[in-house]
Amino acid sequence: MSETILDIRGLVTAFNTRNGAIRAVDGISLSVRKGTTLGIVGESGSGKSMLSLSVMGLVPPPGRIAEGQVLYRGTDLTKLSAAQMRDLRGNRIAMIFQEPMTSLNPVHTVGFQIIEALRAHRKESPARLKEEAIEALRKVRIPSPERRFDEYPHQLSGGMRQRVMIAMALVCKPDLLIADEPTTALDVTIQAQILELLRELQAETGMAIILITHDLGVVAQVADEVAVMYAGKVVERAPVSRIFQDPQHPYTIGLMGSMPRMEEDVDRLVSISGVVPPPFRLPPGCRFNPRCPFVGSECRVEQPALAAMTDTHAVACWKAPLEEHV
Amino acid sequence: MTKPLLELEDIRKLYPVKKGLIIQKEVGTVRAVDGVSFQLMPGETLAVVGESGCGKSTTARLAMRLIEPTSGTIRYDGQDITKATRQDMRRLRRDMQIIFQDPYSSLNPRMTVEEIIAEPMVVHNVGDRASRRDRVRELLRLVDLAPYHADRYPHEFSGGQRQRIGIARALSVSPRLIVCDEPVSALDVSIQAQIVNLLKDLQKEFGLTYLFISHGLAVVKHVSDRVAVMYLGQIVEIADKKNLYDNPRHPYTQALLAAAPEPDPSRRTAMKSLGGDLPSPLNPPSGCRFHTRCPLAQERCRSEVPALREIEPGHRAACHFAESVPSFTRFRNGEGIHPRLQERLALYARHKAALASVNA
Repeated sequence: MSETILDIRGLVTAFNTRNGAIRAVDGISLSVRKGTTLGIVGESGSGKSMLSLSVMGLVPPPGRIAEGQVLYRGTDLTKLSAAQMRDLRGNRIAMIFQEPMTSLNPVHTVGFQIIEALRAHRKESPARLKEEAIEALRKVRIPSPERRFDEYPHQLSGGMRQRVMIAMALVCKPDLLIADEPTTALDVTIQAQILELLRELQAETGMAIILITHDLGVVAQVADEVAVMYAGKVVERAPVSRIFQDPQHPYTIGLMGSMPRMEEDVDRLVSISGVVPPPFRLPPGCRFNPRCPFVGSECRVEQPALAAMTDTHAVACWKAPLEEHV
Repeated sequence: MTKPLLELEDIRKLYPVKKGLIIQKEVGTVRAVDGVSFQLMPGETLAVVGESGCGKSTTARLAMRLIEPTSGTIRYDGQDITKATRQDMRRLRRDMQIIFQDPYSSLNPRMTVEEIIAEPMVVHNVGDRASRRDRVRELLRLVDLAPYHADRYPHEFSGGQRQRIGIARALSVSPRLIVCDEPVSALDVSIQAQIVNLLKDLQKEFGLTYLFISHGLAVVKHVSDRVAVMYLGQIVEIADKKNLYDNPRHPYTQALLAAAPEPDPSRRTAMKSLGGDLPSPLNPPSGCRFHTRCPLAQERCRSEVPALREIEPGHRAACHFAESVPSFTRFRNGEGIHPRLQERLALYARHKAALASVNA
């Protein structure tokens, strides 16, 4: 078993609001090992983006990490000073975002921005920095990187911009990459290119990836392990093949059914009724219970804990294993 | 034989690109939509798919004459509406409504839901105040919202609920044709499925005709009868749903199908990506517009523009080699869904239905 790069333990990220304290991330434990990809699936409002910002130490105020640990190779990131965190961020832990146009500075060249990322962590000569930046562009398969180095973001297509973002993130050779919906804004043919690129780069560098997405198809293609989030909690966690063959949590099953498939012709999609509850109006008991077709009286009273079904498969549901209870 | 409800014939929309502040010179033309023709039969759903910038949304707006075509003919119910006057168009638009992609920007935040839904009826002088009120309540029920929602404002609703309001507004004047411009693209997965199901139910109930614009081939497979694939302002392939998915004849259609991530971790190598980026519509490639990215491109493709021609009845493709393009069979029915998942989905659906009947 390879080394654990990131180990999140009982993480709670809270916001104090007029409606009381909101826990956007509510007691999450997850880990990811070297060379593997953890896919985090959830819809908007599930807390998946707040989870990644918590790991990066970028929780926007008035939010704060209220409980728990984020262990990066044994070091608790929640205990680090701002300066220590800056040393790690972009260097050992990197992040790419959904929208490549808003994450790149339009008034600087691509090359300048990559060097900027590099210079924050390395003391080297300008010539050497430029070499490394061009090498980073070449790594993400950008054709004629020497020419692209001097171009501005608006001169690049969406797919190229996302490649530049990846080059910037990987230029310091991090061992953890957090990719927050990296392909959502891209067209499907470009998405396929980017996913393939991430897979290849992982094979080359052995970095661990946390991939945040709402698209189960993307997860099926790149993740090794999957965590399904709902309303701030992980409701199911398993290796990717288990999730697609033997989903146990009703929410996971509902998501699978909601996804239109090309290899199938069904008259109606198995949709989930209702909507995700806002964080200040969470139902008592299991948070999914108002939408769950298998709901029982116990579900409305007490919240189920994430419990192991097998060594690798954990579910937070009173009805698991499903066939035995319904 | 039934007459088409909507017919586009060689429709073009060109945008001049100008340079200079005072003395403007035309320096080029963006060929947003470049010779698109199709027929839409009453009661069917024609989906138009393509990547961003292919002109699919422009086509949708041209079909309703929300923007004026540069050339070509639009016929609605057998009548040429390309030159129809504003007054005539206004009357016609009672018959054709549109649902937009973004449920946040397409509803006026200062109007109540009742005012929003009733607005088309006011514009078209349908009924009086009291009857419109009743109609709004009825429409809310139709789209699975509650009558008390009528007095609320859009900001009080989630994205999916707003899209339902948009659908109710489109239905208010009992149109025959609804243009759906990416109606589910901005929604969460679980909500997408709800809206897709709702659109299909409404079509069945009212015999609606849909022109469905989308970039997602999977969604399209669920809602459409026929599919047109667009690339750089042109239709490259159009066919019945079954033919298009089982036997795509244009390399671009095949590439789109191949690029969609498959929800099956056991078949990862299957995902093949198309190289390169979409060329600029300002300066489209010569010959076949797809030749710069086509894995099968030959000399002839660079020089000669392929016509959109019939390959088999009801199946047209714009490729010189449409007959000899290797067949593409990625999606066989049933493959890719594990039997256990299949069972569990069925179990979910059964329990959901049972619960719904208890609640009703």
